[in-house]
Amino acid sequence: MKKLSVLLIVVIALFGVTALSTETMVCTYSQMANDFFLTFDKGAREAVEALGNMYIAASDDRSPEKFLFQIESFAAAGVKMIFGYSPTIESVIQASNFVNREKVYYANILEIADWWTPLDAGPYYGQFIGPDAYVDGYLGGLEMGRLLNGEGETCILWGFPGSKAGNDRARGYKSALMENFPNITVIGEEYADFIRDKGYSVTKDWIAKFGDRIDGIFGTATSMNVGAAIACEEAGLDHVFQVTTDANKSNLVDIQDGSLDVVAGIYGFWMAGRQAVTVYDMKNGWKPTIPETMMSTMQTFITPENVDWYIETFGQEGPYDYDWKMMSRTLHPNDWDPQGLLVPIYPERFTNWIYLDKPRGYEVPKEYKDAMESGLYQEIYELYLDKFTAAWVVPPFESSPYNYVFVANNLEEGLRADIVKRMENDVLVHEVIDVPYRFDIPGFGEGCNN
Amino acid sequence: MDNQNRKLKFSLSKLWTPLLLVVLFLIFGLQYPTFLSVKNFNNLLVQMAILLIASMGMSMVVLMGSIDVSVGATITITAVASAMVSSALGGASIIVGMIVGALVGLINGLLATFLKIPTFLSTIAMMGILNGTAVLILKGSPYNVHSESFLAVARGSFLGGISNLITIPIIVVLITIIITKKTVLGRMIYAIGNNEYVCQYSGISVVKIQTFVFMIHGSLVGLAGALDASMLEAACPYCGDTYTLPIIAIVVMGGIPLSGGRGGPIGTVLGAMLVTVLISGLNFMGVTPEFRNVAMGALIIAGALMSNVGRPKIITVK
Amino acid sequence: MRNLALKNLLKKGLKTENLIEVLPYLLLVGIFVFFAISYPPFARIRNITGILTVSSVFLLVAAGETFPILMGSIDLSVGAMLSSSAIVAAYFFPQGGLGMIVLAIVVGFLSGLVNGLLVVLLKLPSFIVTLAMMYVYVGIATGLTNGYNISIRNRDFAWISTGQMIEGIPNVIIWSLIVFAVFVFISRKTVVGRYILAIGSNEESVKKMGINTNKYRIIAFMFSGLLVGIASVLLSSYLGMAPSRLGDKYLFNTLIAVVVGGTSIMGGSGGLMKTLIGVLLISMFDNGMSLIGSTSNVQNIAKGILLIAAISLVMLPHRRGRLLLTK
Repeated sequence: MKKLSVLLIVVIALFGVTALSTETMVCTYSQMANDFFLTFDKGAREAVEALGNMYIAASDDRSPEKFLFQIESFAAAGVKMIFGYSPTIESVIQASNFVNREKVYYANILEIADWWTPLDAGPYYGQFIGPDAYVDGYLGGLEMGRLLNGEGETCILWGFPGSKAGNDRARGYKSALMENFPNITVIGEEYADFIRDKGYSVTKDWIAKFGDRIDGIFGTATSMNVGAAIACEEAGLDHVFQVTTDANKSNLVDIQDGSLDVVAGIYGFWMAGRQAVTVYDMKNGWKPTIPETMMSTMQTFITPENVDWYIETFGQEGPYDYDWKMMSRTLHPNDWDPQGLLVPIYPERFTNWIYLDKPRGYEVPKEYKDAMESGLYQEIYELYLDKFTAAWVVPPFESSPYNYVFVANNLEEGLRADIVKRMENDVLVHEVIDVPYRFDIPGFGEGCNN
Repeated sequence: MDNQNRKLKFSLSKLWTPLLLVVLFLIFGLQYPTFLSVKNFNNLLVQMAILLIASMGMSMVVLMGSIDVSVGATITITAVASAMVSSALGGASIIVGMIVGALVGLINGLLATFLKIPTFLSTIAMMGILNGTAVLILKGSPYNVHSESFLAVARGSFLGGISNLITIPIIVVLITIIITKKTVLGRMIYAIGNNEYVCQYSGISVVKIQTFVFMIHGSLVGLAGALDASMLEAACPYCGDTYTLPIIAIVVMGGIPLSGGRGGPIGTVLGAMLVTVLISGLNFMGVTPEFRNVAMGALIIAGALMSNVGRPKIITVK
Repeated sequence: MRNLALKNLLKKGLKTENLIEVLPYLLLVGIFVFFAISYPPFARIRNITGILTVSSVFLLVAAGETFPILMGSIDLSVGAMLSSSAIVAAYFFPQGGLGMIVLAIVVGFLSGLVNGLLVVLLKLPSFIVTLAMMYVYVGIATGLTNGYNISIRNRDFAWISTGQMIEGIPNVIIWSLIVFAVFVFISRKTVVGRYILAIGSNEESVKKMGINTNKYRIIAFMFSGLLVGIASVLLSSYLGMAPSRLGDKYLFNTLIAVVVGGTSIMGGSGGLMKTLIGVLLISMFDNGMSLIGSTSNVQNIAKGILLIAAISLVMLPHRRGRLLLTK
């Protein structure tokens, strides 16, 4: 009750004082009971406040109904800028249709419906950004191969059935094994619900089943691998390599003490803040070009070599070092700086859905093809590469070989990844590597290379 | 005549659980030879620890004819409590966990006796409140435990080299057996489960006993929660939820009917073995989490049915 | 109903029983006023329409839940049935359409029937049976598609809930009110409805009259499943997909709505109209709390406390002078 009344007073005060000068921006995400969304919230809040606006967080407990309802409520209350994360991929369709009807600017991250582009909805759904899960899994697989010297037996901790990002990461992992490491097999696979407890008990059972045959465990989220690492240690096994995703703050210590070997970080706080700036720009007149409607975001690998740097740069209590206003196209039309790397996504070949049938009667809007043929994609791609000078977001040279960020690139047939390395003197070096995409990857429970 | 029949049926129904246990061992053992190894037995005993301790308290609650759906959330909050004081109190944080658990038990007991809310509803509401509180305290992220002495509780052994995760549950089981079978309190628990109305009339303070039993149950759950935090080196929101369904299944498969009054802690031990073996075997098989839950649900119905066998049919079931 | 309560209030003064009778209405008004003051946009027509839209599906589910509760039973599987009916129907009819609608309703109906049969035949407490069945339905909903939701991208199907036959009012509100009205009629004016209420308040007497209480118990669960099946169609249309996992928030909210609305958890008193008030209450509460920026967490704690308060108030008349011990 006390919390409520304090909140009430604050809101009324804010409302009264700031009603005329500021606007409200709403960020949607699933729930506070999650490390990942906490950093999200922090980045979003900082960006909104840097832009001089009022921030409201709308958590929906993963309920699509609540998510849509909140968007509607806030739109009805006059909010014009909404961004964030959607609890299910399908809700993005309803949300994007809604924001176009109500003329509310919307930009989102991480989740988008299969075979659905912002252009399908309308101009008010401006941009989708997110890290590529398949590439993440693939490169993770390359890391596992490196750590195991090309030979060994591994297990996979899936999340829960129906998690797209989780599943795509696992597929990327298997694909890497098939392409590069035929002597690494997958002997155990299990769903561990993205929680530590299950990671622990599943691994304990694996150990009982396989003994010390397990050389490495690939997880689709860090929390499970932490539990797995504890189980392995208890059983007295020789070090079992842990490769996973989500460098949440509370897991950084596990990287420091060597329990986890390679953890992909997706810069969630940066993505959230970016989209705040994006809707702000949209409201103030900026229109995204067609390649900019869907962009792939950068990821990096956090390991014992660079974790100290990561904690110092992104794991402190104080605000992030981002200059949010510099990201804005309206506030800094010429010298804007995304402070991160983004690569446009070509919808026809998006890894999220390239292996899925198109819905009956659906075709990707023609504008995308035109933009590709006219060279606009190449232009935007090079623009963002050019503008990416913020070497400080890339792990330092001393942490080699983990001094790089990577982004998926599907602008040409086949799949690639852009790698940007930070060299001595903060010089950034850009490379492109191939990331073979396979359609014959075994599913859950079918192992790999066995 | 009818009485004898019922007694026979009841004795036979007691055999189901051990029988199922043997069958499961056979099925899983044949499919996965390592399932029957010594190492796996050890594994099973460790996995069983938390479930067994929490189920002991739950057995007493169900014997009275009540139920506690908030047991998972209680594990979460007691894990949080003990984790948060671990840096200051080290191993003694376990006691803090037990105290918090007892408090939760007290509230549950008062809701049931004072406000007269049916326990399955009041504990559902408590579950929501406890989970929400845990999230608020943790601010969403898991709380890592660093205190060596606290971690040593789950890893160590205070009795001749046998892991604490084996000795502590055994002690808890023994205590529960003594309470339920050898003390006056125990007899009253059975009496309440069998016929509350009669108890009330014969001057036994049902209210006091119910509340007290909830508190004992709560402190045992608190012990389980603290051990969980020690085992996993952290407390996290919603962590305890995975235990709720198995604990109910354990007590029910252990032969205690939901209306209480019959069965005992020894049956619960068998139930704990059964459920642990089932979960472990399912892990070996690699099934989806939903399938695991369906298996638990089926087990609960089967158990409830079996323990209803031979009951005098006075009670109308709603 | 309202008139009667007010009349009683005036005649007998503020006796506790009457206060409790009127309490849900007072709470409704109170919450509305509180949020309207805290955040004026709350009271705008568009926001109210939004609240009503989301309440529509919720109303049908809560109405379904009311029938078993009126009998003194409970149905914990309503949230799960919502998902399973939608998923099974969308699995066979991914384009939506008449087939999907019919199948969803049939599946809901059958699920309710199974619940009722199990409770009656196994003679187990309904909360255990429906708890276990909840997991079975969740298993069905997630098993068919491996956990993925089924996207239904069909404008005609979406029109069912999101279209507007009357300008400014989403269709879902209209459909749900029609169905609700039908079931209010059933519960009040038909033999079935009145027997359900009677059995809830005094099962022994009804049995002695020679009425087959088992049959009516099964019917009550059937109504629950049927209403949930209809709700699943409306929900799928609104979301543009059949949701495979709704989480147990739905169940939590439904129970609160029914209990806070004034239907007694012991059975025998209350009804669909009371549930309507409860539904409006919870929806307004959720909406208002979101608008003032409170996290879903605080909302859940508040609702848990509300539930306890509501139940204990409802139990108040039962406590007076009777040795009612709950287990």
